[in-house]
Amino acid sequence: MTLTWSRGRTLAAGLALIALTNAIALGGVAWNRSGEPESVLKLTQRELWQPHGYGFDRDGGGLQLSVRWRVLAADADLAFYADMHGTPEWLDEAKLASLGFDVAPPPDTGRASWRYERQLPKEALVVLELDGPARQKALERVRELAAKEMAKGAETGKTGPGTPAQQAAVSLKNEETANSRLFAVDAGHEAQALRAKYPDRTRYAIVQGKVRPYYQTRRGKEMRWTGYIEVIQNARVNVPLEFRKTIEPAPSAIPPAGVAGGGPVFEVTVAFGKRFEPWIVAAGAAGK
Amino acid sequence: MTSNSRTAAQQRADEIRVFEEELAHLEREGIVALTPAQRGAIAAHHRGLLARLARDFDIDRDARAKQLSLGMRIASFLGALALAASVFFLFHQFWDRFSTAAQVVVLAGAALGTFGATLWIQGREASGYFTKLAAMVAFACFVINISLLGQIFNITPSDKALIPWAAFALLLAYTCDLRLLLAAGILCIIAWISARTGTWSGMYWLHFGERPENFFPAAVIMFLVPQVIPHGRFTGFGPIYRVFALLTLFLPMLILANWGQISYLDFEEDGIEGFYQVMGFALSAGAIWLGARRHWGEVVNTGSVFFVIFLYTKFFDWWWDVMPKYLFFLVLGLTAVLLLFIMRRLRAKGLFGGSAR
Repeated sequence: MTLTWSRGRTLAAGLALIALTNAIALGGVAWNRSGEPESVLKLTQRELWQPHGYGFDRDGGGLQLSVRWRVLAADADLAFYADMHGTPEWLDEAKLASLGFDVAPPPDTGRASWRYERQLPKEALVVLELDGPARQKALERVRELAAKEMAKGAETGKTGPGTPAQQAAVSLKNEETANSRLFAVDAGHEAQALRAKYPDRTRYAIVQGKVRPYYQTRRGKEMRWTGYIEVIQNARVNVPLEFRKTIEPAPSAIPPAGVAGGGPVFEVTVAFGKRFEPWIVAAGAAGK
Repeated sequence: MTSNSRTAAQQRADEIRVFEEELAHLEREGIVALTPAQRGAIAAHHRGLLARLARDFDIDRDARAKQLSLGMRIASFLGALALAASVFFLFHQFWDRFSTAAQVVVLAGAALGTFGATLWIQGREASGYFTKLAAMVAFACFVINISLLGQIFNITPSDKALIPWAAFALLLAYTCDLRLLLAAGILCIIAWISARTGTWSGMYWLHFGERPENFFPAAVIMFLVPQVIPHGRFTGFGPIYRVFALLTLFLPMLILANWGQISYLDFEEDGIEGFYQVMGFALSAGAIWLGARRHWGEVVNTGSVFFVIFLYTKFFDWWWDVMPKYLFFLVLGLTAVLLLFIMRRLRAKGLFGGSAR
């Protein structure tokens, strides 16, 4: 076999390769967006952040919004940590096993157990819930914790700036007006089964993600397999030129509620297609 | 002009230069004496031949020109990298001013345009320096093309993108005789095969690097490519395949020899590390032997480097904590001297397939 090509054939092959690759990529996009979207969520600035640029990001490169998702932590004491992508209470051993992980107890020897603990992440479909029961539960937890801290502060007289009572009040305010209402509430491999369980397409989006198991060995806690969502794919959504004027002027932090113009500034309708890839279909000022 | 004929022309020019030097030696030592007419005829023939080769193929006519060529190659390589980076930042800088449709057209147009320009330059330039620049920019444009399409349309990242990138790099490499693009194509293929190997074990493709054994099939395939497909027409292509294959084999093996926990093998960590240490020694020694038998200098060198690294790593494990540092480094130095003696003896005896002296 020898490699001898004329320049004409090389030109044809190169042009065909570029054209075909672009056609396949764009065809996939068209297929993803064809027909009825898999789900359509109305998100606000609470769920969509403008990522802060570092290095060459400052030179431009288009605008993308980061989808800010959360989990309802298994540990209720962590209620104040709103951005925590920690261990969700629903990601237990049974769920991990259903996702294909080996959840047999690790052997006792330290090195061997270290290997078991380092199971690599697996792809899974993750269900994101917008302003549903998970958010309500998170809000209740924060309210309870804040009430306790404020009661303690009232007893001791420590309610000034920097005290736990004052921080609890701020956390509660943030939970009510600024924190994301988008929670990862389930995961699986079958999109149809997940959709049957969560039929409301305006509240539940199915997205692609990665789940990683973790063997919980913290002192005082029961030793068991648990896990966390390592990443949600496509958690950065590109903003087309026609929507930039609505989103770009918004401050990076949500203005405090209660003041004039406070609360989320913009509202963005995001659709998820057949391949669970998102795109922005509308953007406007947020209804306060 | 074809890349093959340019290589042949340069080889002919080098042979003429060596012949002239040797003839001068022989004449000085009185072994041969050409008549002025003979010397003049040979010189005139060589002058004409070199002038024609220089005109047609832009070859280096003497050692000074060759040194200058090396400088030009380095400048061409650095220029290619800088231009590719420039294209990337150009897109980045002005990206947000285009509509989605315009972005798609600009991306595909840039890839198509720079590819066409590369072939156009290649048809008009004998030296290949500007062709290399253009080809690198074309490759960068194509990579940016697919990457930014993914960003614009929020496409899930996929290892499948490595296939057209590899194909494009190899197309440019074989058309324009460019080793840099060949290396880029080989890296894409290695990454893709390793990612696929990783997914067969159930992992997400981007994590293929977390199990170094994923690289071994790619190493074997890359090593076999120049055996199955003759590369005689392309300067240095075979060695590049073999060097990348050996790096793809020995680097993961070196990691596993020191960090057994990340192996697929379900054994005790010490056993895994011991296994890969033995494999590292055996295969690097095998590479030295095979390279010497087949006259593959790059295989001998790569095998030697890794044999020494595996050896020094073991020395470090055994003696770093127990020996005074001066003694430790003395042992390393003496080991290198011993290896030199052994290899010289083997070479002299022709045990590697070379002629005994």
